Amino acid sequence: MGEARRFTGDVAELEIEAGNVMQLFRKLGERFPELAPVLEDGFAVAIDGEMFEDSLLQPIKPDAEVILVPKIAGG
Amino acid sequence: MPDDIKLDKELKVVGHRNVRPDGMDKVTGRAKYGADLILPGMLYGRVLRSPHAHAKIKSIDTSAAEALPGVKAVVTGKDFPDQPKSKPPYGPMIQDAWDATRNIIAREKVFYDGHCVAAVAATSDSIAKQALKLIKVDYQILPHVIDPIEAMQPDAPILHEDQFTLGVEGATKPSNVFRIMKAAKGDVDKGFAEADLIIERDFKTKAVHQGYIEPHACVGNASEDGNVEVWTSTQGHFVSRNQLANLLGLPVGKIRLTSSEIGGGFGGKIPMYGEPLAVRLSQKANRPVKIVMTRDETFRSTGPTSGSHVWMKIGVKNDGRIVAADAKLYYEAGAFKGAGIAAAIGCMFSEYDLENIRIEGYDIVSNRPKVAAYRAPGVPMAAFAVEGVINQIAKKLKIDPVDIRLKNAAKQGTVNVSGIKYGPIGFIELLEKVKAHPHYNTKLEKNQGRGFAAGYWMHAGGMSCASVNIQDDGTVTLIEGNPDIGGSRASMAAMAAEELGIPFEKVRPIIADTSSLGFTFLTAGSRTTYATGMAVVEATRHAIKICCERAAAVWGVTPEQVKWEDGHAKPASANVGDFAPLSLSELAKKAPMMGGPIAGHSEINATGQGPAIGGHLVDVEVDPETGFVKLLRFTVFQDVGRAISPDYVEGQLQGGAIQGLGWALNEEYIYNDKGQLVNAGFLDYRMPVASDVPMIGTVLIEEPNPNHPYGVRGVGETPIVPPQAAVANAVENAIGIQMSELPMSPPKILRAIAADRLKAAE
Repeated sequence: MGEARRFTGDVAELEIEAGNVMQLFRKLGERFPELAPVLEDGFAVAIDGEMFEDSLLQPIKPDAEVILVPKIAGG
Repeated sequence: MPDDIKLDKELKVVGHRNVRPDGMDKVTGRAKYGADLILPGMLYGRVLRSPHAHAKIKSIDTSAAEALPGVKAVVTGKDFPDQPKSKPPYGPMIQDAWDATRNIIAREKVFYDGHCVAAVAATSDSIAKQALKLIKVDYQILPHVIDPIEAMQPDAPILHEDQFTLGVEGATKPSNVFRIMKAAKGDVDKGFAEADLIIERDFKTKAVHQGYIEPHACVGNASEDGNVEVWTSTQGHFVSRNQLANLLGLPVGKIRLTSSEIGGGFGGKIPMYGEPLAVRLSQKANRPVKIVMTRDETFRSTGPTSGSHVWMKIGVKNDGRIVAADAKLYYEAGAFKGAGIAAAIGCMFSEYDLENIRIEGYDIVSNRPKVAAYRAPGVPMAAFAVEGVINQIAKKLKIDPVDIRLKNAAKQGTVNVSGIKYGPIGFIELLEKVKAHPHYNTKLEKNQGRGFAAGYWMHAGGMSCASVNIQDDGTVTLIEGNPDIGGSRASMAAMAAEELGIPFEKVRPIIADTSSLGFTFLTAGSRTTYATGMAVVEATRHAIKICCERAAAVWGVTPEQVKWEDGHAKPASANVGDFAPLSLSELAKKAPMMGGPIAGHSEINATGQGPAIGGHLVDVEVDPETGFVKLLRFTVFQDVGRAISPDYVEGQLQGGAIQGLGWALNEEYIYNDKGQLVNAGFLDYRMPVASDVPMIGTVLIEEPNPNHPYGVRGVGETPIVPPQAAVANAVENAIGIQMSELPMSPPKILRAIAADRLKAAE
């Protein structure tokens, strides 16, 4: 969870059932209310190592590893 | 996307050296840049800037300026709605609207020399300048701080009394440190315990400007019905439109931004400066208003990149395998938060396959202009440290500098510190090409040295739209939404022509304004050829699908029985029937009577962008009497995925290398004791010119990105990551002293040589 840990009481890893990124963000937000308002604007996700940004409908397969990564812009 | 990756077939347009469609207008002077628009009744805008690095604004009296004949409008911070602060952890560019509105025009305080305090619009430029002198600002001067380490000290002047450090539990005192970001992988302490050699160093770099030749320029034109038109030199007119709507409290649909041609940006033309001022002045004056910055204003008030302090510690086994890497980054953000620490953390070790990494990044405000992105923002400073220490390790262990990188190179399946797992990636092939290159094997003479360094950038995807209109005669208008900075029109036209099977010259690419196409994200993050290129391919395939449907109707077969090949609809197999192929021109000519115009469009949010790794090889000669560094040879190697337009890919590689050379050897912001910038011009801020550099050689490694129809990775930012370290490593190779501070200007090199001689004599 990296940068998100400040909103999770230092929880770094957890298991969540979610079929896509939107469901994942909703369930994370329910569990960590302080995280909810910042997920969509602040984080991309790496699903099994592949980056997705602003992709709420991106499917997540069962047993996938998802990492929250701070969004980054280029020049 | 993609279902038909064209990686192996012979390509007729993509990968060829096509002449850029905008080239003729640019060399003849016909191209229209930011300052070139003149409208009837247009006024000239000028900006009053703070001479102080840090001061409270007690009052502003604009009455005398407003009374001057010819002055039509004056604005101050009070003419703009205040904005709420954003919530952490913020978006990628930390576009906190509270900060943005204060950076555009000061409200309670000025935070840096050059900060905008007021703006006027007048019937002539000279009247506007005269009016600025009549504005009376009563300042209460406050102590200032420039250096990020000094800004972190407990007794440092505080810029923002309500800023408490994110990442520090229970912080109760305001701080100039906006946040501390951390990232880790593996067990760093265990890695260091297993190391045979540990090297630890400090590095410093100075703030440098992007140095685009065209200063910021725009025209704002507000009409009585509430509509707003803006003409501006920008890297992203759709993003600017949305920000402008937010900052001025206007509906997005009422604003139309048109991007002019752009004379360089490199990240520095992502933020807005003059546009909101021009629009507000225009609203007050009911006339169009043009604002063109001078070079002095561009230096003093627009975003340079961060100056930095970096602490680096790397542990290795005797065979050169890195077992632990630890770093702390202290980056200047300028007056408002937003230094590029997130990108630095995500990229700095990412060309290597490392098990144990720990990084801590500090985003620190100080009294200088808010930083803006600059090609791979934040990464070159960190790479300067990483590659400097790896070079030291190679020297100590007597391992070839390329071999030590081969030993640790990232490959397919490597997972970096952010958790990103790599697909195909060409770093090993790149390093092997370096070793085999004639440059690497050229003999060096006395006082000469050779340096190598690598660098990584991750690239962006994001939203892009495109339309392809097939005209009656079979020529094609391609509409996309990214300002063309580095030849993107040529690449877009090449991909559309390749798909259609027609000559490159038959496609005319147009960059649409914000009211003529769906939202398209910035020309930044090296994303345009990747993301907008995907939209162009998808839109073209949509048009081709319609062409095939029309041919099927003509022949009385199903669309699935028609294929598109070499610019013609053809029967998909001999079983379909014996029909003469129908060309694009023939189908386009019949279109009005066969269902109407043929057009394709695409609206996507691209993901799957591939990272790119580059390696720079430099030979220098150092004059031990003057400290002058002469560049002898420079070769850039980069995994570019696929070069759609090789000429412009090579141009990107050469341009990044030259900007990095300036950063390495000459460029720096110099402040006096009052916090005023004293070298705000190209005579005193020394950027490289053509006579300073040898021909920069390029070697393109093409390891295609499987997520793009033509294998594109993006190329524009990676080439500014390695050169600073490559030059420093070459200088060390020449004089035997590691230079850990940029720029390596002659006085610094002379001091280092003198100190080394003194030490040897003791």
